[in-house]
Amino acid sequence: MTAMTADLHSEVIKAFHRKEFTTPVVGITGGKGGVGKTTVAVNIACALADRGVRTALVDADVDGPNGAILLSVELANPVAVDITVPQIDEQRCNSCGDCVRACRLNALFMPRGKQPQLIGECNGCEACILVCEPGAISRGRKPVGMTYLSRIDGLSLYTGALIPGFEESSVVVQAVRERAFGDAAQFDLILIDTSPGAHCNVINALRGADTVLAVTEPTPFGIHDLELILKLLDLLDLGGSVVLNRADLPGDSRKVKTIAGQHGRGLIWEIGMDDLLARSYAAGVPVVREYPRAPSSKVFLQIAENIAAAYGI
Amino acid sequence: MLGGAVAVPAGDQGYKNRDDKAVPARRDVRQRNIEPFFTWENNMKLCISSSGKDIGARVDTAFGRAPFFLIIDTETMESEVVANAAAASGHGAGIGAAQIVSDKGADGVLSGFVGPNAFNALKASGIRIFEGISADDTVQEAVAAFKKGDYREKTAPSAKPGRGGGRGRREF
Repeated sequence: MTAMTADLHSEVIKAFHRKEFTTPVVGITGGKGGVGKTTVAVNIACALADRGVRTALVDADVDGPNGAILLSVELANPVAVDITVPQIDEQRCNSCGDCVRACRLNALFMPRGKQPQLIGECNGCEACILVCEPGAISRGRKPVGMTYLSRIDGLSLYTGALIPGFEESSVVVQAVRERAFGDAAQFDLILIDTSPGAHCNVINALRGADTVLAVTEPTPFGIHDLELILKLLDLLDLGGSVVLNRADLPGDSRKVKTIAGQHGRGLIWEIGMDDLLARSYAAGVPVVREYPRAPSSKVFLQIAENIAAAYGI
Repeated sequence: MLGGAVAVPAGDQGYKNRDDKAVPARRDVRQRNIEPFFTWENNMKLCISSSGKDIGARVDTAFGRAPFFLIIDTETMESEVVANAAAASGHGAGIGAAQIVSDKGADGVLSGFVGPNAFNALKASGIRIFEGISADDTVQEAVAAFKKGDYREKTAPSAKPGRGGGRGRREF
């Protein structure tokens, strides 16, 4: 890294960690899909809520939000998420073509002898509005998704949902996170459940997080994707521990520990294959509430206790 | 002018696609006494997507991502080459390419495939669209075949706008 990009990197990371409130934010991610991120998030959230901690759970997996299903709660309080699309005023437009040249998505097209029109996919960057000298372009709105706020048993669940087929998942991730952050004063803790992967939607979901739990399983896939997500977390300067779900699968648990150690993550929470967890999962009820004495519940309750202790809540 | 005894190229007999539907051979008006797909009344400035800068180069069958456009006066065969600056675009190459072609004053586009966004853009400029050039042809050969009416004029965009174009809709 050259000196300049190193400086830039630290600025970007500083901005990434900036937040306007003091409520602690814990991210739950993991790279691979299906490792139990949402199960872990929901159970920790319930365990904290049951301790009297005012907890917000943000379901930022906007392509397939299912925290609400695991909590058996209806999505409520919908707010539309929309992006800007250019609306061109025929009276003011002088057909200079500046907007067409400014559009990095080539979404605008100026037919011969006519005014520009929107033909392709617009992502709402507003560059066309900035460059339009006669001020002929105004902000039209295009809905791309929804956010919801459901309240259940002392827990506030914020859900982001992208309209299927749309590209703007990152906009919806940002919207749901910001909706929860806007209410941060009401909470003692905000938990953010990300989508699988190690891409921009995960990065966007983890903005403002203080620490991150990386959930994985001891399969070759879980191990591979754990390494990816830990590399990303290192890059983002985000610490935290690892949750090894299905720890007693006949996989290579030692390898998980080695990789976690290489990325400075000494603490590994192990959750075994637990019939009661599977049963409660199938029923859409958090195991910590249905079977608080189940082996998995004990781990979730302990994680919740550690989080509460770490932040004095 | 039609109906000369020109041999049908070997292999151009039609075939069955993976849905077991018969795909007819390319109509070759040079071989049979059949009506051309279209007859054009006037000469035009025809834009052909090309892999190279002169009329001896092979055509490029993808309109939006072709590296060059050759704009050819079908009467005088004078040609002008334009680099397709939109080819490397992450998004909207077809629309960007259509803008270049439209700004150059082309009356028609001849390519292998013109995507739905590019189609809508070209149509907004009143540009006629012809599809079906083969990757084996040079630009010169494509123009010659065009003048014989070998290529079909496209009057509706393919599938719905956006990616996909109907893929993934098969039942297994």
